[in-house]
Formats: sequence, C-alpha cells, structure tokens
Amino acid sequence: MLLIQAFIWAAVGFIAGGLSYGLIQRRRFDRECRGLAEGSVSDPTGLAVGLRDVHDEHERRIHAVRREQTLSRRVAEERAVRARRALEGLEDPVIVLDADGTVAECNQAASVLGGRSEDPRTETMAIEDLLPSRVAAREIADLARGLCDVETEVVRRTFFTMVEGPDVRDFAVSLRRLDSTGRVLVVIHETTREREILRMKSEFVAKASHELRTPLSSIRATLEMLEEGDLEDETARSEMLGIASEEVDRLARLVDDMLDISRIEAGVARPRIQSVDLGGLAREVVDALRPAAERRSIELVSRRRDEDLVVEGDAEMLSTVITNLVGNAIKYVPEGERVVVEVAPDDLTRSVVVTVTDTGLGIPAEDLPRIFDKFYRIARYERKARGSGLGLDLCRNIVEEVHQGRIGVDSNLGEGARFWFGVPARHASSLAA
Amino acid sequence: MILVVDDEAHIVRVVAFKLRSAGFEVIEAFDGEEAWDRLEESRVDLVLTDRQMPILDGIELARRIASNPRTTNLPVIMLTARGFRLTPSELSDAGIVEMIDKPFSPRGLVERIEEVLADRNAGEAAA
Repeated sequence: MLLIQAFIWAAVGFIAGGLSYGLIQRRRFDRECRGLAEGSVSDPTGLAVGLRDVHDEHERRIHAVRREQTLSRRVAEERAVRARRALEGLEDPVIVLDADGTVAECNQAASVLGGRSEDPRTETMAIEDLLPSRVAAREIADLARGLCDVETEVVRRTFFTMVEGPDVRDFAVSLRRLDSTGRVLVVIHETTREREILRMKSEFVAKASHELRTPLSSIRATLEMLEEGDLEDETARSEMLGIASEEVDRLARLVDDMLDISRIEAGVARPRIQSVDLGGLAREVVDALRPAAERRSIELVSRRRDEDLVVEGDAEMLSTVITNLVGNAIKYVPEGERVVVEVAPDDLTRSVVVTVTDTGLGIPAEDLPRIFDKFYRIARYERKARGSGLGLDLCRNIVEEVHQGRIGVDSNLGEGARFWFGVPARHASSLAA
Repeated sequence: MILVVDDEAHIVRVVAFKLRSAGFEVIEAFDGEEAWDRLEESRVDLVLTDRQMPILDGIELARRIASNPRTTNLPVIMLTARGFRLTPSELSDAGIVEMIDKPFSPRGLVERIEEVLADRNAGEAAA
C-alpha cells in the first residue's frame, strides 16, 4: 500500500510539474485525486491504468513537439545554408560589419579580395584584414560608423582603386544599414572592366574622328579650289575631283564599317542565315574585282575544289569578308604580282576555308598580331591607297562573332601573305553530334 | 621651296597643287624620315607637315629640324587634328610656328605660309 501511495505521490508530483493532458485523463485524475484526499482509493488498478494513459498521452505530445521543433530547426538550417550559398555564390565581395567595425560575416569573394591564397576569415577580423588598401578600408569603416549614427540615411557609396603590379583595379562600394543593432552590409563591385570599356570607346572615337577628318580635308580643299577658280585646267580639275570622289567613297565605307562592327559587337546584327556556296560566292567576288586587278596588272586566280563548299551563313556578310581580303591583296601587292583565291573543305575542323594568297611584300612579324585591330596600319604600306582602317576588324567580327568561324594570316616578310578564314560546314554540328 | 609631308598621298597631292598654283616650288615626302632625306638634298624655305605619321612623326621631325644647326631656323607649320595642342614652349622648342587644324582651307594655308616667309625675310633683312 505504501508502495502504491509512494507511486501515486510521485505520479502526482510528475503531473503537477507542468504536464498537459486530455480532458478524459484529467477528469479521471481529478476523481482519483479526490479519492486520495478523502483517504479512500476505490480502485488502485484503475488508477494505475489511468496514470499509464496519462503518461502515454504525455509521451505522444512531447514527441510531436520535438518533431515540430526538429522540423522547424531543419527549415531554419536549410534557409541559412541557402542564404550562405547565395552569399558565397555572389561574384561581388560582400561583408557584414558589426557596429564596432569588426567583420561579422563575409563571402569567399571578399576573402580573396586582397589576392591572398589562404582564407583570412577568422573570429575577430577588421575590414583592414580583407582590403589590401588601407585608405579604402579606413574610409569604408568611417562610412559604416556614420551609417550607424545617422537614422535617415541608409545607403552610402564610395570608390577605391587597387594597384596590383602593372594592373590598376577600380571598385565601387555601397554600404547599407542592415538592422537596428548597427550592422552594416558592404557590397564591393569591381568596375575595372567598365572603365576599360569606356577607355576603349573613347580611344575608338578619337581614332575614328581622326580617320574621318583626313578625307574631309581633301574634299574641303578641292571644293574651295573649285570655287576659287584654281581648277580651270582640265587635267588638274579631273585629278582633284577624282581625289575628292575617292575620299567621299572612303568616308562612306568608314561610316558603313563602323556601323556594321558596332552592330555585331553590340549583338544587335541580324544576319540572314541560309545555305551559302562559298565557292560560288568567291567566284562572284573575284569577277567583280577583276577590273581593279587588271588596272594594276595583277593576275587574279580563282580556284575551288569540286566538293561540297556549302556553309550556313549570311551571304552578304561572307561576301564582304572575301571582298575585303581580295581587295586588300589587290591594293597592297606590287604591280605585276599574283593573287590566288582558293576555296576548299577542311575535314579536320569540318569547315569550308577560303584562302587569299599573294606574292607581295609580306607582313613584318611585329605587325602580324595586331593586323586585325581597328585602325591598325602597317607603316611600310602607308603610302598605298587607304581603306577605312576597319576592314579586317569587320572581317574578324563577321567570321568569329556571327559565324563562329576562325580567321587568320600567315606571312613572312618578302614572301607574300596568306589570309584565310574558315566557317563551319553545313550540317557540321549534326555530323559532330 | 616648300616641303609638304603627309602619309596621306591625297593630302600631299591637293596641298602641293594649291601651293604650286600660288607660285611656290614644292617637294613632297610621305613620312618624317623621307622628309629628312629631302631636307638634306634640297634648299627648303618652309616645312608643312602632318603630325601623325609612321616611322618618324611630325613632332619628331620638327625637333630634329630645330636641333640641327643647318636647319634650326627653318619654320615648320604643322597640320593636326582638332583637340591636339602643344604648350607654347613645346612649340618653340620644336620650332613649330603654327598648328593648323584639319580640315583646313587651302587659301588660308597659302596666306599663312606667305606671312611666315615674309616675317622670316624681314627678320633676316634686319639681321
């Protein structure tokens, strides 16, 4: 009996310790408790069974609560992992600063900012440990402190530059107050590429304006001389007007080439892709340029293999490429030399290759790497007739950007030059697959 | 005699034609190095040169002319793109008497050349 009583009291203590239980169990428990208080326990076995039920119900509930807690903890953990991964996945360095200026958190991009090989992320780290520029670190820390104090302003921006050997890297930094504890989110975005693009654009405009000015000089001079009666002589007038007319063509070509290149580079060119027989296209170009070649006593030869020379491409654009390469050869080789245009399939690269070989002066080795650049000119050819200075760059853009082909030049000084380009053959992709 | 230097053959042709119609004797060159060779061969009174040229550009040519005792007094007029400026001391160091923007007026060019030559002759007469 004592044992039963002890058990009962222990059970009561257990229950009184804050258990929750069902209505039925509670009524039963109340009834048994009343029995206990009145000193009469009517049915000890029933009491034990009732208590077991209470205990089981309690176990079930505890289990449910634990399951719920585990589930929500897992959801929270997954959410944190996702947030962490998103932060790590950002290419821009991101740093969270505590109110005291120490780094609370940062991503991988931020940890390698200074070009360190080891990860400097430690428990207590200041922004100076991440940024190689002390001046920039101090400025960012100051701005972050300012953000903690000022309630109204939530975003601040600053810029800094980092010198790494010969390279200068530019960064834009934005700071944002993260929460009421004074934490600040620092996002660093590298702007080196933007600056480089702006510089290239400005350089292009400067060169283009110089190139535009030169033909304008001849045209303006001729017009003025015509107006002032300097060109009374028939021969002189004819020569000067011929020059002006050629320079007008050059201006038009320059403007066209600039537009075509900028459309391709900006990805807004709309090529009309269809099956094009490069062999036939090359023959058309050669026929069109034959009079120009004959004027300079240049032997223009066209050869094609009797095979499938069809590619998928824009006929007009590809014709421009062949015209430029053959036109250059005719323009720059000495009179009496030979220019050979050949079209043949290349099984190795599954492409059709057009080759323009001349027996001219050749190209100095130092000029070869830059010959496809905008406005690049070979000094020794300067006195020859001039083009837009953009022809080869346009060719490169058409072949490589529009047709995913390859373009190049081989030459030895004094032994002529060989310009070539290859465009993937028709069905090349399905064959490769 | 006037030496006209430009890597653009058309500019040389047009300018030479205008100067010859204005009564000048003209010799032509297509880069700075070739211009220097011409100067050694002929007695030139004034050099009219483009700035941007391969091999030896206009400014280097002017400096070479200014630093050689035989040619140091030879006036140089330079044709250049708008926006390119030298400081007065750079100009005088290189012996450049005038920079003229392209595109230029041939008549204006002839007038300027006549003024420079007149100044030069007056200077020499006074000396």
